[in-house]
Amino acid sequence: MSAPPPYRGMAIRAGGLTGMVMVLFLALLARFYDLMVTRHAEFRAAARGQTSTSRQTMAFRGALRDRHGRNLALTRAWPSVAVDPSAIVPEDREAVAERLSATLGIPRRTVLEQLAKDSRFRWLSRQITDPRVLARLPALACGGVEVREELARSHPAGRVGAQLVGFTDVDGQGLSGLELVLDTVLAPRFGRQALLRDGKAGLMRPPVDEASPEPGRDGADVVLAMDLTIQTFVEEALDRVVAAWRPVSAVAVVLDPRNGDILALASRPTFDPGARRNVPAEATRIRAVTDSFEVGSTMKPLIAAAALDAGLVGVAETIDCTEDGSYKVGKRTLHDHHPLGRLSFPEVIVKSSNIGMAQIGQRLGIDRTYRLFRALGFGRTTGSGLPGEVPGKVTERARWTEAYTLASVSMGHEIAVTPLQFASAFSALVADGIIHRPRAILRIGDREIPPAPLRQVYGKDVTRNVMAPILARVVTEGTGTKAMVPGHVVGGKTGTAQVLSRGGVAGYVASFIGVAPMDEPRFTVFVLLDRPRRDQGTPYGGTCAAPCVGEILARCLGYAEIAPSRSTGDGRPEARARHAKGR
Amino acid sequence: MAMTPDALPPLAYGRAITWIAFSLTAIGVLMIYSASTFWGAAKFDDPAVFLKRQLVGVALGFAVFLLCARLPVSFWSRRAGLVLLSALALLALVLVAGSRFNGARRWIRFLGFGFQPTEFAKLAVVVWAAAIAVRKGPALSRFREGFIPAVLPVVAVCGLTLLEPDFGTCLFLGGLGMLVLILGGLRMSHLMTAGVALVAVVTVFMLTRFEYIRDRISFFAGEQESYQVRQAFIALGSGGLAGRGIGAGAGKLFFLPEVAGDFIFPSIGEEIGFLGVCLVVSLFMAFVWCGYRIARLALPFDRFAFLLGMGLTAWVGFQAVVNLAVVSGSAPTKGIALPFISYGSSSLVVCLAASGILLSVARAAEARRDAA
Repeated sequence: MSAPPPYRGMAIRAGGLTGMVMVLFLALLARFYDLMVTRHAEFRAAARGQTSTSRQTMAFRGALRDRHGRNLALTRAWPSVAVDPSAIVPEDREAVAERLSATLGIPRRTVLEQLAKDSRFRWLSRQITDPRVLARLPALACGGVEVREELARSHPAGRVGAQLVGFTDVDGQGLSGLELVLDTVLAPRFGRQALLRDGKAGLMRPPVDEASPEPGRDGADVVLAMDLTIQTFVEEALDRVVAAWRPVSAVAVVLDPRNGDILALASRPTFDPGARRNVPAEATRIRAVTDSFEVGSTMKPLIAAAALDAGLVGVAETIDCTEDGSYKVGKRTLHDHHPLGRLSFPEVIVKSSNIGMAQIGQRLGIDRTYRLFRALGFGRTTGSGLPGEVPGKVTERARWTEAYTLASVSMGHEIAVTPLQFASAFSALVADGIIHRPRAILRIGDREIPPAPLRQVYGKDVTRNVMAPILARVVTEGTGTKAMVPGHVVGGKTGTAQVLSRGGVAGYVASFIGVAPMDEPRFTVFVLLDRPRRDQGTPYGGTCAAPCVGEILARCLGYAEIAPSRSTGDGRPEARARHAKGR
Repeated sequence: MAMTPDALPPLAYGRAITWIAFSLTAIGVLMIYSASTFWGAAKFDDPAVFLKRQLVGVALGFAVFLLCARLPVSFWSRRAGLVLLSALALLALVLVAGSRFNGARRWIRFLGFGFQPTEFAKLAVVVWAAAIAVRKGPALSRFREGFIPAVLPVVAVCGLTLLEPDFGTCLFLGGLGMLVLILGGLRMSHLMTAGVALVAVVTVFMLTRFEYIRDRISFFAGEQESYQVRQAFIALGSGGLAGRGIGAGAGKLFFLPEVAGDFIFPSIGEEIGFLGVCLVVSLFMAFVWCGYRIARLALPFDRFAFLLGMGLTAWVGFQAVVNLAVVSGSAPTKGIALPFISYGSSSLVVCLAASGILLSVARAAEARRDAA
């Protein structure tokens, strides 16, 4: 042994110490192997869990546009301004308030109040649309002031078409009208952007390696059949007629009889879709489909044409409408407004004889009349797709009687129809007998919705050559003279139906349906007033609804640039006659 | 005649230690940069701020390394008392003029740089213990003449460290000093009676006095996993075998505490995986082995060089073990840096100084061996 004992002891201790350190390192490696390799999946998941998050990306709700692409409802991102009161020291409040108030155009005191709040976030001005304020916004940026984008629905047309367009809640969810029924197609799909979250959960950044897994998609734009200009005519006309006659409610429908397009649809009461708060449900209803009425005499041409079409009555035939103005059907006695004597077929309609119509109805019979109503779409929803549509009411086939049901429906009673159903049915009468499904929407996104002709209800010869001149006579010499439009041939029919209650006559439903131009119909306009005021006598369809229809038709014809047709002295449309000859 | 036939000359181990130290330093610089960019950007608006500061430490450390490599081993044995006194003075100074951080005074601000006296104290304790052990010789085994004068200064260093307070470093310094003294011939029985009693008293005192230590220990003892350790596990575990790639770790996104400092190793594990962990641990093991071989080869000629070499090696080795034990949840959180790698100029400079001294020891051993 060369090394002296103390050295040897030291060498052994040093070797032992070194060995111990090595063993500890190896033990730690084993520990790291366990943590890093064996439990890799567990901790990788934990890491992902605490670092990955996502943020909703902005996407826009689809716009609603009129048939010419004019915006009715659209979603845009508008800047909103908020403050973080905790980030602004009290000494700076005055100066900051001064600047914010000047930029945003809000009172300085309001800003100061918000700045005094013990909070990290207070809104100052939301969804700013004023272009002057918008121009000043970029200069606003400073500590404690935040500008963020908020989505908001705006309605450039305001109250025009309010019920049809509908409105949304603050989150962009459709609550009424087309906003409600088309919610799923209009609704945007918000995307999600993957983000990396850090341990302070404050800073966020897009991850280096991950693409956004769910891109957002804007909602589909929807093009309505509605024409904003015509809708505006209708709204203005309704405002006037409602001011004059103060009905419980009023409905106006404008259809294109050639294809069933709903060019305008309005009702009173109405609302402002931008107001969002305090909107009465009453005012949001599309009454043209949610309410049904007994329209009365306005119905008569639909029955008469069917009888004519079936050859059950001749155009030249005279019908005895009695000298005393009363007529018994079974046990029931019917009356005309005043005794009419013997009337030709056209005169029955022009003078709106109840007795005459009852006889024509008797000839048509229960079966045919019932089938006619089915063909015209009464008692069923039209399939317009508008929300809250009701089918109306047609008496069950088994319960029809000659004296009551048949006689009543011939005069437009005991049958309830929605204004849209009726306008659609009447359009068939003037559009070569073809009924179309009312079309509210022309296009959803890229998908065109074609017109939907449903069936031939009347023969073309009857509608063009017989019914058209009769309807024109109603306006030139009958009950609908107030719907006349100078220079144009307008056809139509009035109706005044009693609304009965327990105490007797509660009021009237006054309506008028007008069509123009009669030689090549472009517009079917139906206006219905539910219980207009009676203080100046009975509110007939011819006195309150007809002028309204006349006004709407006059403006529509001008807007559509339809040239006036020369008409003969007796109101017979020369243009129509020439047209008929040409065929 | 030779105790162990040795194929490699001492200087080979010295060169190896140099390269190991530089490799670990380089890994440290790279990983500090990777780990600290977000922190630096958030706190100082400069992603490279920690990199820059560490590079200053590297430059300083390299100079100190060269100096120590050239100083003869005897320099340390002759000035051991002065070295220890300087350490004590600096430790006292930090208690008076140190800057506070998290409730503890650990730094002395000097010319814009923070200096941590406890790091220097590690070197001082090793030098002092080696010197006193050699000076006392066989007397070291006697209680009054050997134990008391050798141990008291070490206890003084520990005491000042405890007052900062820095409980972990206090224990580490005490352990390191005792280790060198035991290697030098201190009797275990003396140490048992005095040392264990002292440590017990101090421990109880600390537990009642400093809540944060109590919390750390109760965290470790209890079922509850501390947030720090949990984050270390997540970082290490998500690294897997090969890691997520340098720069791609997520632990540094303000999840890992002290991500460039004491907890840099989880970030390394996350980014370069278990293979990287093996590399770093292997380098430390190689360092320990080379240090041991240098000391062992110096033993026949110079007991001081042996004790100094073993002390420095054990210091680096144990400090690495403790740090890795903490980040792997195997020991309570202590506040012990990973040698060469953790952010901090003081730690890096003294570690490079230790490497320089080991190289100097190797040179001396080589010279004596050639002479023999």
